Amino acid sequence: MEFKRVLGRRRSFHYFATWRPVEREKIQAMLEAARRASRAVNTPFFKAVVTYRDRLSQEERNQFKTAWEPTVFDFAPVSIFWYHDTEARVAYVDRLKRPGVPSGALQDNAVMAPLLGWSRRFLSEVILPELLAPGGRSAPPARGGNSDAAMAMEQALLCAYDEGLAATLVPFDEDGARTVLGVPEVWEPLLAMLVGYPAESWEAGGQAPGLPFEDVFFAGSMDTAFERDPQVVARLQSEELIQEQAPIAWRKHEIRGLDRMFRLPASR
Amino acid sequence: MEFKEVVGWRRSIRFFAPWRPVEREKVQAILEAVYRAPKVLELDIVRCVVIYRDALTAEQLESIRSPINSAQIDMAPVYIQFFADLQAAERAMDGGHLKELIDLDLLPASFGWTHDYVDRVIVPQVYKRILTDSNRVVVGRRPPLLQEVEEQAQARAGGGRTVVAVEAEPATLPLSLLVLANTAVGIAQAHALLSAFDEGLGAHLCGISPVVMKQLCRIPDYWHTGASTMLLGYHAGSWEDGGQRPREPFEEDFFEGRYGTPFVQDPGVVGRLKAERMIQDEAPLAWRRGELSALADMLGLPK
Ligand SMILES: Cc1cc2nc3c(=O)[nH]c(=O)nc-3n(C[C@H](O)[C@H](O)[C@H](O)COP(=O)(O)O)c2cc1C
Repeated sequence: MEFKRVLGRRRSFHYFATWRPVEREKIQAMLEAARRASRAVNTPFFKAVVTYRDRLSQEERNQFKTAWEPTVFDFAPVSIFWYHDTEARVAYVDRLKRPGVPSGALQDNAVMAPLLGWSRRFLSEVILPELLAPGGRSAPPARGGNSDAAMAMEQALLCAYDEGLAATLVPFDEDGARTVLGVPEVWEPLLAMLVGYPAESWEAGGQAPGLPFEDVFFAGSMDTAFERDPQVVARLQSEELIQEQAPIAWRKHEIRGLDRMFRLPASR
Repeated sequence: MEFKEVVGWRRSIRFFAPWRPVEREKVQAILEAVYRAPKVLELDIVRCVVIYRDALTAEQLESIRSPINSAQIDMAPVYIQFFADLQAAERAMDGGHLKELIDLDLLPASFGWTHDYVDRVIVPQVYKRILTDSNRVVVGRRPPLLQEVEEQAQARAGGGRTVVAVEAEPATLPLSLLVLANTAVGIAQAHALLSAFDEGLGAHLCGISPVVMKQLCRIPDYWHTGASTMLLGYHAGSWEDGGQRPREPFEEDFFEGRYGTPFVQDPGVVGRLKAERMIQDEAPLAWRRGELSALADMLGLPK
């Protein structure tokens, strides 16, 4: 699918087709997309565990749930649990076994060229100790999230849409998930990605509103808003990055129909 | 461009045509893609400042240079800096935005979304917990390398420039808030990087001193700094740029059902993704050294 259309189609889905399994090959494609994301010093800070709703008991699924939209775990055929591996960089510094920047593989492959200042000596004497393991190799792994892990997760999410699937991000219960999934203590939870074929329309109520563009984007400094050129907006509408905004006239009927289909308590 | 090709062609481009400006329209298209990124817990966290290299004074340009980035900084005509507005969760405490989404039928009542649920459960149990997380982490500490780099930059500039004190940054933050901020920034950066390539541009993320960026962008204290900067411009070399970068074995990254059971990579799927050009030829490419040498000559870089 065209890139901009993929981005335009993405929104939060709730009603998944519970009866339609997701092909494993599509899940793999999503994971392959995650791996291609940019990563500081080529280190994989992300980890993910793929689970299938039908292979988990209700009790196990309940352990994932938080106050934020708990029932969606019972709808989506696939849930992928994304983590930040807080030990990734230490492992990379210590082992030097993987084709990251530390091992020199990128220099040898003439990607990070010494002509940009990245000599092997600069790496071993400056980058490696200072950037990869600040506080020393024995410093405890640091929690606090990781934008690289989130970037990988997002590439997987967008790829789901390209594969004709819907995917939604929700928080999950760290301790419950650790019990069910057996992940290491040093993995810090990011978000759960619920994946499936949507039972609702691709519109899913329309694109959601947000802050005004000019409150989010700035030119030069925060003193000057980045002015939104309506001609560019029009181009992006034709490329389907920008689509119809909520509310959509027939959405209430759609929700009523979906609630009947899934025998959910009447919404209103 | 097809989505998978965009993912495949994205790689960290570090050689830009310094003389070729980036059309404002393309910059806006990138920002519009960021604008459409998913919002974690429906919070509007990310902010971006677009910086045009040629609008900076010589002193400003010097202040953001460091040994690991100065060549790229000089080549890229545009930098996009990402920030996280740490007041986003606080501003959401009235539940107003969630109620708006409920009223627009985007958050369905049959999944538990009601005004009452927002007030009774989501605000106190989700938003408030983020803000009152007693687990706090130190932030705003500059990595030693960048500190060093700043001192060098100062020395080079004659020592006249004052650098914002590290203490000006909040000393600690609730852990949950920091996780949220970093997650939101990463999601936004994914959209920005991919969109750059879809618009026919090259880009990479680059570490620039957060203290200097904060000063340059004149942002308030409650905007969290520390995210890498996206350097943007037209490719000076080939789109191959030496080939796709190596990755660890797939089975080290992903698990199926439970940790310990790797998600085994099916070569048939890899074949399909190669045909769709998401997986491309990996570095090293035979002709890369020749290209690098030519680029060095063209761009005046030391060999
Ligand atoms: C947060 C972050 C910071 C980065 N900082 C730099 C940098 O300062 N200089 C640089 O040349 N590349 C930087 N990179 C790019 C990575 O080195 C690159 O993504 C990694 O080697 C994988 O290669 P690829 O992006 O070409 O797939 C950074 C990437 C990330 C995610």
